[in-house]
Formats: sequence, C-alpha cells, structure tokens
Amino acid sequence: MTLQLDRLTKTYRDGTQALRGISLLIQPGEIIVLLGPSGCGKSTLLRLIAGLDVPTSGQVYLGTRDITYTPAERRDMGMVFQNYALFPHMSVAENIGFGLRVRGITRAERQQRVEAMLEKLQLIPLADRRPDQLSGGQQQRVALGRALAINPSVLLLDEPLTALDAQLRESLRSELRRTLEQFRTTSIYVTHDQTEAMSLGDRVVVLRNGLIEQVGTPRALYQRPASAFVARFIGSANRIGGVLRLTATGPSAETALGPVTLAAAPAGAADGALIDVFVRPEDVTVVPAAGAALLAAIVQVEFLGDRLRLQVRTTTGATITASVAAHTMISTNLVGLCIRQAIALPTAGE
Amino acid sequence: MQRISVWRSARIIWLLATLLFLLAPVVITVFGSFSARWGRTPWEAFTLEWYGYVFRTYGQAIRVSLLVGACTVVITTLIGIPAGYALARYRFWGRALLEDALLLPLTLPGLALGLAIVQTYVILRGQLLLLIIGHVVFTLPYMVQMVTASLRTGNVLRLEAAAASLGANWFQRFFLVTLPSIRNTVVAAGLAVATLSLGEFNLSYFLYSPLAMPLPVGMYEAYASLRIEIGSAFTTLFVALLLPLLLVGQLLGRTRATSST
Repeated sequence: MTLQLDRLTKTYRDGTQALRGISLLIQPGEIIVLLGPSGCGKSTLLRLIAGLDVPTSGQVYLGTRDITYTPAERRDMGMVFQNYALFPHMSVAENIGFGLRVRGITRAERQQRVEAMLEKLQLIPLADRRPDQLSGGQQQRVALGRALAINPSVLLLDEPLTALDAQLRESLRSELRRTLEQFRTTSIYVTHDQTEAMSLGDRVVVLRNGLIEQVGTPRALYQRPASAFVARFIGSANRIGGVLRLTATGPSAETALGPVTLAAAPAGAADGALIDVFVRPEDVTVVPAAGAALLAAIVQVEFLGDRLRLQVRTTTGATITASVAAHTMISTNLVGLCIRQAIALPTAGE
Repeated sequence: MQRISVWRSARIIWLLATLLFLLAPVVITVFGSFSARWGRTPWEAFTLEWYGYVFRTYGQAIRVSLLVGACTVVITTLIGIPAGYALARYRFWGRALLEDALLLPLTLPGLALGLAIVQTYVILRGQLLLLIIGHVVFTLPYMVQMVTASLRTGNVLRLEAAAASLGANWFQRFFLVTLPSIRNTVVAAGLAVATLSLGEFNLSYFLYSPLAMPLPVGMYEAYASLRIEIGSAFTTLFVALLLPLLLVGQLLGRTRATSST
C-alpha cells in the first residue's frame, strides 16, 4: 500500500511551526529516510505518520484510506523507538508477542509466529531473557522483531542508532540494513546522520525548517543537490562564485579558480548568468606546481588514515578544502590544483 | 597526606558522636523495656512483664492501627493511581488547581487537619471510619505525588507510545504496560503511607473513639499515665513493626533508581 502525505502542517501551542506543508508519496516496499538537523521537523513528521500526534492541517492516506485522525493503535504501523522502549517487565518472547497478544490472537498461533520471528532475527537463545540482560545490538533486534511481528503496513524507525557509540553504530547500521532488506516492509527512518541516511535509504528526504528541501536517491542528492543547504549537509563542499558558460562541449563556469567543468547547468539559467559553484573536496586533485594553471599554498594537512584532508590557499585568495588519497606525495609547500568537476546552483544569496 | 588522615579521623569521630547521640535514646528505651526496673540493664534484671502488659492492655490498639493502616493503604492506592494518572496524562480545566489542592494536606499540621475533620463530619464522630478518612486525607498527597512523578518520566511515556503503536488500546496499555512499569513506585508509596498512618499521632488524637484507640494514642497514654518501662516496651514493639516497612521501602527505592537509568 502506498503512504501519501498531503500538505501536512503542524503548529504547536506556543506558535512554533514544526511542519510547514509536507507532501510526499511513498511506494510499497520503499525505505525512506527523513534527514535533517535537529528542529527540522523530522520527528514531528514521524509522530504524525505513527498517529501519536495529529497535524494542524493536511492529510495522511494509507492506500486510499484517510488515516489522519486514526489513533496509533488502529494504524498497523510498527515503530522502533530511539531507546527501543522494550517492555522491561516482559521477556524477549513476550515483547515480540505483545502486538499479537493485544490483537487477541490465540496463544498457539502467537507462539508459532513469535518463534518464527525469533528464528529470523537469531534471537532463539535469548527468548526468555529480560531486556536489561541484552546488549545494545540484541535490544535493537528485539525492537525490530516486536514491530515486525504485527506485519505492519509501514515500519517507522525513530533514530534507532543515535544513542549508541560510534563503533557499535556502524556495525548495527549494516545489520539494520540487512534486516530491512530481508523484510522489505515499507519503512520510514528518521535520522540526523547523513551517513546513515545514505547507506539505508532508497530515497532520502532532506528536511529543513519544516519544509522538504529535496527528495532523491542518496546518489542524486550527493551529485545533484538542489540547494546550497543540501550540498553542504550531505557531504561537504567548497563554495565559489562563477559565471555560467554554455558551450557545445557542455556546461562550464568561469570562477575565481579558473574554468571549471560542471556536472549540469542549473535549470533555466542562461549563458553568462551568475551562479554558485560547489566543489566537493574529493574533486580537487593535487598536481605538480610546475605548469599547473592554479597554484595554492598548503595551510594545513590532516591525516585521516585513508585520506588526507588539506586546507589550501590559492594564489587568487580563496581557501579550499581538498580530500586526497593518503599516499599523495606532498613534498613542497606550493602545489598545483586541478578541479575535476563542480556542481552549479543558481545564486541563492544564502 | 598527614593532613588528610587527620581530616579523615576527625570526620569519623564526628560521625560516631552523631550516631551515638541519635541512637542513645533508642538503645536506652529498648534496654528499659526488658529490665525489671528503669535504670537497670536487661542482663541484671531481665523481664518480659512489660511486653505482656502492653499486649493485654493495648493489643486492641495495635489491631486498630493495623486495620486502619491497611484500609488507608488500599484506599489511597485505589484513589491515588487514577488521580495521579489523570494529573499526569490529561490537560483539563483546573488541573493545576486540583494538583495543588491534593497536595494541600502536606502543608497542614495534623492537629489542624484533625480538628477540621472532626468539626465537619460531626455525624461520624467516634466511628472508626472517621479515623480512616482522616488518614486517607493525610496520606493521599504522598501517593499521588509519587505516582504522578513516575508517570511523567519519559521512560513510561515511551513505553505507552510503543504499546499504542503495537495496537494496544487504552485498557491494554494501562494494565499491561503502565501499571507494571510503575509497580515499584506504587509499592514504595504504599509502604510510605502505611508508615505514616501507623505513626500519626496528632491527627489520630482528634479522630479516635475511646473504644477503638489507635497505637500512637495508646503509646502516648502509656507514657503519660503508666510506668516508663511499659511505654518503652510499647515503643520497641512499634519500631519493630515499622522497621521492615522502612527497609523494604529503601530497597525498592534503590532498584527504582537503577532501573530508571
């Protein structure tokens, strides 16, 4: 079933506008990530979808059914909470069976379905444990199992990895990805972490100040950001001013760093228009200074293991961040720079 | 190094002196209750005579207090949980006022409260029911406050939201999730209520009937008009009655603190 959000707004009592008109169509089986900085409205949006809160205006449709004001307990949506919110007084099996129990499913069938879920999530040896006897990863699996046991029409995940430390977060992220792909339930995942968004989402919805900034596949968001905000929130980017040049060989820009090849021209912009040019650090390469068109002095070198992160100051006066392979030889203080390609956006004056 | 150890021993001496000061009356009372004569130690003149006297004369008072205490705990729990839930979960007109009103008896001296109740419900004067009503009014704030506080923690709110998302209706959420998660708090509050009810003198003094005298009033009477050894025996019995309640309450408080993190 498709999930459709139609012009949702939410204004709180104190006048805060958490959502200012969100419309989105989510296809069955899709994994959607709601991404944005804190206060962008992503958690509020998830609560509206879950039925834990009602919108000020707008509708939520599940298939053709309007569920805007349907309470959470009649929506058939499984939810995984930030701290998992496992019932501390119930065993793993009882937690997973809770949704079936309150639906009045017979003990025999319940037992069978809980067993099957325990099996799928490799939780059988832990069936009788209490949540406080489980590790973070095991708790996550129980929370997923509990939400998936009811065969939800939509699975909602509210920053399930945020409370964990960095190392555990990474391993649980790949485990989560496997589980989500195994079940292929329509999923909506909320996070402020762009790495999580990129690795988990079929499509990522970037939210900002209660509005959708851009929707797209992780690749599209990275390669063709629609705004300076997206360009900087997903990955990082150097911003320089430029003039658009449309020629037979493709779009390019004249910038303070010289001519730069563009991935695409901003829609509707004419030759000669003033544009913003964004250069990803990994699109800047270091070349020998002799014969290079663009020269720069190295200001700072950070060793990150697999990469070097360089701060350079060009002879034209711009400070640029570059990310190059760790084995790049930097023998002199003065290097040449070569910019592979750049992203062009209309000047927003942001 | 030297200075630190001087500090340490000074602190230990201070602690021991304070403990001695606080515990001496209790120890003397317990000794007195087992001695044939005040001022003698139990191993010089051991007797259980005073205990026998207390049981014969005040057995009824102890039974009355246990009955009143039990009724008070049951009633405050039955009123306190729904009241606490309403205060914590619903926004309604006058909610803040009601919350303050429920806590008002905390600020009133038992004496004033007892006088007010006995003057208002003249018709119930001399009945055990009046004593129970008084104790409920006196202890309800503790129950409501503890229940409200634990229901307001993010933890319980999240568990309720999780239950709702899994399809549990209000009754299922309340009985399968909310109540079990505040169970320890309710038990701890019940123990506090029992302790308060058993020990409350001021309020009870105004509300009791001479035919059903509660324990603290009996104890007062024993000290006021009988031998001090009998009062001591009564006090020792009272402490022995309350100590387990306090200990269990402390223990529960500790597990509550660790499980909420």
